[in-house]
Amino acid sequence: MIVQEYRLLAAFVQRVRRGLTLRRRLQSGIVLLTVCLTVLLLGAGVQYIVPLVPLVAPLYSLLALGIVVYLGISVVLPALRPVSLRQALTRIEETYPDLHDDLTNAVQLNPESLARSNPHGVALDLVEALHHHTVRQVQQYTVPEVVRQRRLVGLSWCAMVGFATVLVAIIQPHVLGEAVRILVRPLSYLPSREIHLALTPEHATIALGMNVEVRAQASGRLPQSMQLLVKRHGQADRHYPMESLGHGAFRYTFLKPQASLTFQAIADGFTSTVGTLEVVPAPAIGHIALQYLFPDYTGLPGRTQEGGGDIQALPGTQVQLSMRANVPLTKGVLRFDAGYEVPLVIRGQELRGEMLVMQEGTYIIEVEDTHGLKNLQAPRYTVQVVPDLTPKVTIRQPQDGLEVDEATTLQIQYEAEDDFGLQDAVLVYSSSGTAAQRLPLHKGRFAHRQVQETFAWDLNQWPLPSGETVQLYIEVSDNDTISGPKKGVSQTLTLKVHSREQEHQNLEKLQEEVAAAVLDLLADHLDLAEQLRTWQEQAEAGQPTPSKEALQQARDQQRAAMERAEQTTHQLEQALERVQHDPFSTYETFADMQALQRNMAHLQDTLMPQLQQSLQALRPQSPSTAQLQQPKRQLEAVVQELERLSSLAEHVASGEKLNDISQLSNKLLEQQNKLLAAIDNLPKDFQGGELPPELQKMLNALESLMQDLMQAMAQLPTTLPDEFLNRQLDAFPLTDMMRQLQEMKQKLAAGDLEGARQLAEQLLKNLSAMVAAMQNMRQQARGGSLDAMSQQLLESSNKLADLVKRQEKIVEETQDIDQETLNQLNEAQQQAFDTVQQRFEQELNDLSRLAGEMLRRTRQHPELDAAFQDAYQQLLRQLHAVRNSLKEHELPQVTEDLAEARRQLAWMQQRAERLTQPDRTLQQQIARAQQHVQAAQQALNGLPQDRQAMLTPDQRGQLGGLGQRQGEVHNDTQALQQDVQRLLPLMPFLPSELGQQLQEALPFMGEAQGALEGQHSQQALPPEQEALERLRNAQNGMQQAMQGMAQRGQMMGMSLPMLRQAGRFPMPEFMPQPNVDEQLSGAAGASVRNFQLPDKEAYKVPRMFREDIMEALKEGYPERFKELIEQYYRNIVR
Amino acid sequence: MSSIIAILSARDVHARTIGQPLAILALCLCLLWPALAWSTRQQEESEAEATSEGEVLLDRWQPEAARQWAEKRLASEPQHPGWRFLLSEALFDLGHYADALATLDSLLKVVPHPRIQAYREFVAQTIQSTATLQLIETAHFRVFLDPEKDAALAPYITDVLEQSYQRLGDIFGFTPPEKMRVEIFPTTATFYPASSLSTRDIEVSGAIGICKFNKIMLLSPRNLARGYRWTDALSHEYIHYIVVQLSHNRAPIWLHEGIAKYFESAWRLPQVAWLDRRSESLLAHALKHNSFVGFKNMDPSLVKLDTTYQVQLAYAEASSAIDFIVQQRGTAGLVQVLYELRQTKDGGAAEAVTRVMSMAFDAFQEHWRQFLATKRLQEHQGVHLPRFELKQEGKMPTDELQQELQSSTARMRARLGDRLRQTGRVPAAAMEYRRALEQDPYSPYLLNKLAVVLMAQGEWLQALPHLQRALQLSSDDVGTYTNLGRLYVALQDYEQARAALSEAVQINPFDPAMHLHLAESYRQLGQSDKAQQEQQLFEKLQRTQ
Repeated sequence: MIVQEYRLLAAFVQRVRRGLTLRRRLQSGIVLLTVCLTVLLLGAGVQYIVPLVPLVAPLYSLLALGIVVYLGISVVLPALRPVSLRQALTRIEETYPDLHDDLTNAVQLNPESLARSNPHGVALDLVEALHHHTVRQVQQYTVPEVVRQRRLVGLSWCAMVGFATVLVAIIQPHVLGEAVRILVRPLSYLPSREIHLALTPEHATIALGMNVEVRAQASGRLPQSMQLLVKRHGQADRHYPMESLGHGAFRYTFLKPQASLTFQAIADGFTSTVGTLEVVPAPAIGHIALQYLFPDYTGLPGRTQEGGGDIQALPGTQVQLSMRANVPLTKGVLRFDAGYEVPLVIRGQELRGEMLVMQEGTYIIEVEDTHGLKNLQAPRYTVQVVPDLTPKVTIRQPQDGLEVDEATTLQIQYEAEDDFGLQDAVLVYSSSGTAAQRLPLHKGRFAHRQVQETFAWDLNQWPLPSGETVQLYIEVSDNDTISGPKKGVSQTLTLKVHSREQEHQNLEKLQEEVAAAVLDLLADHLDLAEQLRTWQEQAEAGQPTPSKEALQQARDQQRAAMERAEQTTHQLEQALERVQHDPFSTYETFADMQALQRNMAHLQDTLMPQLQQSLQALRPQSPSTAQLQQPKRQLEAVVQELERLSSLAEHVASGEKLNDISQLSNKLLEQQNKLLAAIDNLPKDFQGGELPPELQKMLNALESLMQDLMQAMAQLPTTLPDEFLNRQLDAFPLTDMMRQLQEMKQKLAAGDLEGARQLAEQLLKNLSAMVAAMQNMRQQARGGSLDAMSQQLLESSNKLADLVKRQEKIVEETQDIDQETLNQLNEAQQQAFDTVQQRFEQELNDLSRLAGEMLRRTRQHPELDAAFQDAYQQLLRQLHAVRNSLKEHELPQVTEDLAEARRQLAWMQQRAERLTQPDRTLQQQIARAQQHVQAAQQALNGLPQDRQAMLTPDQRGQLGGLGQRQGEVHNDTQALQQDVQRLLPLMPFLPSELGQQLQEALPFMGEAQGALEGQHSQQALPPEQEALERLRNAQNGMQQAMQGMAQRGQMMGMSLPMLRQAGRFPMPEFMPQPNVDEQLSGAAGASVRNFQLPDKEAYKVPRMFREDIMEALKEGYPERFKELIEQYYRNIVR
Repeated sequence: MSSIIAILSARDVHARTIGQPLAILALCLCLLWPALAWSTRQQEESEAEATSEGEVLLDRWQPEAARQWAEKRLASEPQHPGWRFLLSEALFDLGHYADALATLDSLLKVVPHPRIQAYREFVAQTIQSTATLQLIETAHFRVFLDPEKDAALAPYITDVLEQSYQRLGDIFGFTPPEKMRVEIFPTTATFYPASSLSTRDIEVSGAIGICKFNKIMLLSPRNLARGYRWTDALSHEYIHYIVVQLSHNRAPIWLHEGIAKYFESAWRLPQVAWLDRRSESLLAHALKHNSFVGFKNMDPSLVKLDTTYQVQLAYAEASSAIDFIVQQRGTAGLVQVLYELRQTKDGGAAEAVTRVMSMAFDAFQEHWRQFLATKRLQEHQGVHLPRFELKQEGKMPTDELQQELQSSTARMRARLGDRLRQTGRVPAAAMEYRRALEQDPYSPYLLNKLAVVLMAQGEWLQALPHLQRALQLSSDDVGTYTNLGRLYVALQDYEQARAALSEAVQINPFDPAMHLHLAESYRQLGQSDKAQQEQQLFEKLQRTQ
């Protein structure tokens, strides 16, 4: 036990010793390091003193050595020895004073030693107790506390010096290096006593006429002066003082030495090596020739230029230089001022080289001879670049500021010219806020350097932003392959692009204006009707009416209405003109507007003037109601026509709106189909969040279309709500669809793909239903309601055709009977004629004889002679004519001639009676002559004249039957006219004259019926024919209307431009022809903007419908359709 | 304006008058019932009679007695499926929908039969349909309506029902011992499942209400663009209930509908006014052409007739037959017929009529026709069949002019008149409407338009005859009453205005303007309470519409 405690104490003391030893070595190291670093840093200052006082270097080195030795002896060596036991015990007891000297004693009392020998008789138990006590104390102590009792001296100083050293080493590392060098080689810093001379250059060859500088550098002891010893062949040596440059350097310059020489530097008796200077002729260049090879694209031939090195060429021109030198050369270059050089090929004294002209500048030809001498003051040559000019481009067509249709083909004509060649023409166009678009007009090189080209710019293929102003110009490049093609730019043109949609909207606006104007006209006439009604009431009350002022006001009002009608007609013409070029307007609109125009013309040309006339005929302050009847009738006709026209005009305007809505619905459906496809194509692991841009775009487009549709529908004309209805105006399911769309968006954003798909399918179903409803609505508005009426019209047309046939038959049969009676009459006349003719001729003969007697008699009266002569001759001519007519059986002519003869005789009688001496014989003769004429006429009258008398009983019966039939035709025509009058307001496109013609036919039929029933076939024929003509006119009008309706049916939804393109209507020359057709959006021409390539699924029926069909099939089908359905699927499989 | 009642036994109800789903349910129940009966007969032979007694009580619309009967049975046999099902039916008829549902749910756990499940779904659907309805309790009725959507009905419904209660109680000598349940459904979507009527039933037959399951169910007039005589319809349905109670649910359809139609306006008029222009025209036409529908063809329900014409003629026939009975035997005779029906076995109504009228049923019919002939009925011009077009979401709008006017020329002119008004050419518009009237002189629609345009010009007195003529032509045109109200307010004849607007309220009380005018009328008449009530209603409707 005691031994163990002793060992513990000894071990503790040993550990303290080791610790103290280590600490002392550390302390000495710190001191050593601090001092060494301090000395080293001192060297930094010393090295600046050394150049001034070289002796400082060895002193510094010695001092450092001394310090090191001292430290080695006084610090390092003691530190290498271990700390003694005594020192250790002392240090322990200093650290722990409560130990006193117990530890020292305990350590000294080694129980093992004492066990072996105890010369002093130390009590072992006391030793044990000491040990035990001390151990207990020591166990509370620690070695580090003893070791650390005294702090390390100089540590902070060491750190500071170390930091300074590191800093210097980083910033100026050479300072420390120099300090070390001074420490290590101090003697090298002491000055030398010898002079060493070095020449520069020692050997040189110079060109004749050149100066050369020789330098000598002294080392060791530096001399104050120096001389140059020069030896020339055949001349005495000469000394030349050299110019001091300081620090032992001297120089001397040989000025244009003429011959070779040797030289040597001499200073304070010391000499340098001998240098040599060889003088040779300077190299020079002459006979320069330049061979130009121009770039291929220019097509220019090569050219040689002699007499100088100045160059003028196109960029890219290759210039080959050749020249000759006066001495053999080793090197030659073309040195350019831009800093680069081109080597020359040397063959003896010949040099060749070439350069590519790319930029302007100067150059010199620099050569070097075999001595390495260069040509001095070489001439500087210039390189001038002749520029390749930029192409010139001019647009010839179209004119600046032109307004173009958005779907036209625009002819772009331009001219371009370049000095060498042209290529790549591009049309550049842009509108405000959009990036410039580039349309290649010509790719590759043009055949000529001056061209005039025309490009057909199909705006369907390369569309311009409709409704905007576009800036455009043409770029044409030249064929410069060297510095790159240069672009020539034409003048900038401005084009205003017609927006067809905008035009269409303007047209719709115009149509609305027309409708409003016609309605206004109607209102004016209704006001007038109200005025007439008031007058009527006043007249019935026996009041004189109208007042003069009121009548004048009514006339003015009507005149103003006529003027406005004219303006409206003008507006209508404009609208009709636009419709013909509007790809969004349907043929139905065109047809309706044509009808509107036609009926408007009828109103303007016929009905309104008639009304005007009837108003003019009115007399103010008249108590008669009868005079109001005519204007009332005329006004009613005008009002009825205006009602028709107002309805038609509104029908046109609203029809266009419905058409727009229908097209919007189709677009909506199309967009929804795309959306559904896009949702189907989304990845199955789609997690929602931000939607793919394409999908987002589709959703936005769908929403936008829905809003457009809602807006368009809000503009539809509605009936005026006069009463409160529980139904609100959200009749169309668009609000629901909007909600579905929003929900779909939310589901997509939430990643609920299935939910979104279901909603999309539902939306598609709703849209399909809506589109179908729209189409139905449009169909109804366009003509659906006309179906029933068109049937009526067809029936009316058939009736009219029947009436025409019947009237024709009546006319024909009447003519037959009339002809027959005429023939019978002629026959009867013929039969009676022979008898009559005999008597007639007898009378004529008597008359001729009497005429002769009368002539003779008148000769007795000179006052009568001349006039009677003429009368006699005239009478004879008349009689002759009568005879001739009689021969020809032209009884009316005979009658007429006889009447003339009678008049002639009457005149003669008057003259005879006025004779101064009355001649009774003559008067009797003339009277007898008159009696003969009378008798002849009577004889003639004795011929059968009455056709009616010729009628056989059968014919009489036939005429009676015809009269009855004419009456039936009359009644049927009247019924038809009433039918037509009923149809007219409902089919406003029917010609107004239709009813009028039928109306006009009626009185003629009545007249004809009267004549027929009176058995006057001859009198019946003219009114029959008049009636027939009117029936035929009505029939023509009806047929035209039917044709119009048939055309409407055939051209459902197509616009006039489309029809023209299809060759169904003539295309006006001024109208641009689109290349392709597009029916769906109502635009002529292909809208490449909206065009999308159909994908692989496009041919299929939408999935949801296929699923519906499959589901439906599961439910079975009616037995009677079984075969049909199976056949259908068999066909599909095939 | 009328409605149809289902007056069939409980089994028949399921099989015949409920719609397709309920028909299936009824069929199921019919099929189920023998099974249940068979199973119980195995246990106790005497129960067969007891089962029929419970059913009989339900047939007679005595659900409380049926409930007590079923509970008594269940006390001894708590798990008996037949009694439990009967209990659920009784609870449903008593309006305890939740209890009925709970009973069915517990029954389904024991007997998970799909047919019981179907009935359970019907009850659940009814609960869902009535979820938004809130109770308004009157002295003799418990009215459930949607306070948000049908607030406009609330102020008037009490008067209608209580006046019907009093007046019809006097006529028939019967008043229900317990408060009767009335449900006003705000939408067709809630009405269809609860009532078993379809869109076709409403639009063709005008069946907008039904008395069934011991309650009155009515579709809010808000669902028809111009409303309908909902007040008379309520009274009409209440009469059906009285007839069921008095006859023990044995009255045939013609008797049911005839009585209901005949007395439906009795609550508001001192004298019955069943013979309006339309009925007269229809009967005159039928007499002239001998084209009566016939009492037998009215079964099983008027709603099943093919056309609106047939339905309206059937109503006219039935009510005229009632008129004949009343003229012959007085109201007491009519009530006696109903009581006699309780006693009849196979003879049914014919037997009852024979007993009261002392003539064979064939003779009765013959005498009835003679009675009609003596009335010198006339076919009036311009009589139109009523339209009951429901407003439906997503449905395309119909052309109003097309519906209102027969003459296409009149349509064209009405349209032009509207356009002229829109452009401010008011006198011209009036002229155009006059011209339209020349084509269709019996159109209340055009008459109203003309009146409105005249009123717009301040020519109130000129407008009045047109409105009066419109009223003469159609007594159920809310627009005419509203315009008359406006006109009388302008003429400061507030009593007339009140009367006209009160009629309008009975047809379509959702128009805020009519309440404003009514408020003004009441104010001028010194009835400030009513004026305030109308003013508040106006403001509320203004906010909600």
